[in-house]
Amino acid sequence: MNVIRVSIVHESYIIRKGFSSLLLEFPEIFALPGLDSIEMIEERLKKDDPHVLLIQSEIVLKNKSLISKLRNSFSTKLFIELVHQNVNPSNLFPIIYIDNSKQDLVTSINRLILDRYKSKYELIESSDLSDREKAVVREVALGYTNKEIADRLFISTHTVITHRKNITRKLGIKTVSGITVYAILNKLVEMSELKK
Amino acid sequence: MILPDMKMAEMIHLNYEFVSVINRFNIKLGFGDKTIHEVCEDNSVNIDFFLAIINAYYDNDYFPKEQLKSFPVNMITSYLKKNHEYYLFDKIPELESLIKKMILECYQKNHKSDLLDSFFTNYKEELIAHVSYEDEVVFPYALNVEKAYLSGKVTSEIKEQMKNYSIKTYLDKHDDVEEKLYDLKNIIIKYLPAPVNSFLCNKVLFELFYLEKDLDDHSMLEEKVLIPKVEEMEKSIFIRI
Repeated sequence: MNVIRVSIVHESYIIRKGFSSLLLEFPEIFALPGLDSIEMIEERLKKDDPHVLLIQSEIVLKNKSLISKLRNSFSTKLFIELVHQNVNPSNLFPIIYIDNSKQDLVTSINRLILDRYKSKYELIESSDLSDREKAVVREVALGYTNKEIADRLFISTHTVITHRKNITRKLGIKTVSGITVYAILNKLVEMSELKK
Repeated sequence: MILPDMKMAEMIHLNYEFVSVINRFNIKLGFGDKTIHEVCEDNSVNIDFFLAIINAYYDNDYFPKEQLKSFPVNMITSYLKKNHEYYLFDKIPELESLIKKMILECYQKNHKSDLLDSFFTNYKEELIAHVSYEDEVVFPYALNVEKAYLSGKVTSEIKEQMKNYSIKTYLDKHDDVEEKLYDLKNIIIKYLPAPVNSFLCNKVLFELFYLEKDLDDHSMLEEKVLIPKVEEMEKSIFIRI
């Protein structure tokens, strides 16, 4: 399952908790532990590597130059400003109004975050395995290493690894034994063919 | 937030999962109307440690890392060991028998459903190896490092140990034992044929979800508390040597 990592930077525990709670309803989103200040933000950005940062407007306004610098050095990340009514946003970033209804909040999240990542990172909608992927599943179930699979299918090891990552993402199965079970249940391989 | 003068019984009502957590402190049911403070006293449990663990377990957004790191290694590893016992002697055997039953009743034992059985056996063996490694290598090492750190005495024995092993080795090896569990869940949810009897199947699934969460919390303690704590001690010992 492709997952969009989101970090929340907000002084209020309640707001961070509330947002975490809301984000739980989006299976594509993983809410990272939040921050209550701009302190250590650079380290956190490097360590947690979030795709999206939700930042309290007041924090942005108080640290405009630092945040602009951050935005430039982490240009692939999406910065969104969390705005409370009666506060003028910085206009540096797209906005989510915290006081909105759940409906509107969900719409904003869909529009700003999900839509952007669906197109940019091409979250794979189809969970159907391609023929190539099925072939790789079979080889994994038979017990071959990535190198052996590459040789047997006349592709590069790099391609094998890419296929395996896609397979894991589509199926939600991470281990070799899990793939083997899947292969047997879906008749990609017979139990009699298995090593050991 | 759970506090010392709350009644233990009220705490259980807040989250029934606490029942198994308190067992890991050797606290048993039947404490009447006593407060958490009183029950901890009766059972010689450090109340601050107890509450830190309970509150971290309860609220996903709350993890008092620094406070947990301040407790002695012994307290942390004893708790982790109790967790291990819970997994190995309670949870896994229960799951094992449920899965065997499930195979018989839900899928009408055929050779394909044996797949589940061997898959789970595989997982069990991995978990046992992982847990034994921690009990037999990592925890004793952590205790030794703490001893050297606190006493200021770095014996040649410890020096030798620390030359050949560091807590970072453990971190690198701290592989995802949970991965197989995750796969098992998905296989049952998505890829096994429709079960004849859903009730048992669901029971297995619930137990898997619950075990996964528990293991997650357990890993947090190891990765965010024990390992950093030992790392810091290792660093300061190396400075002294």
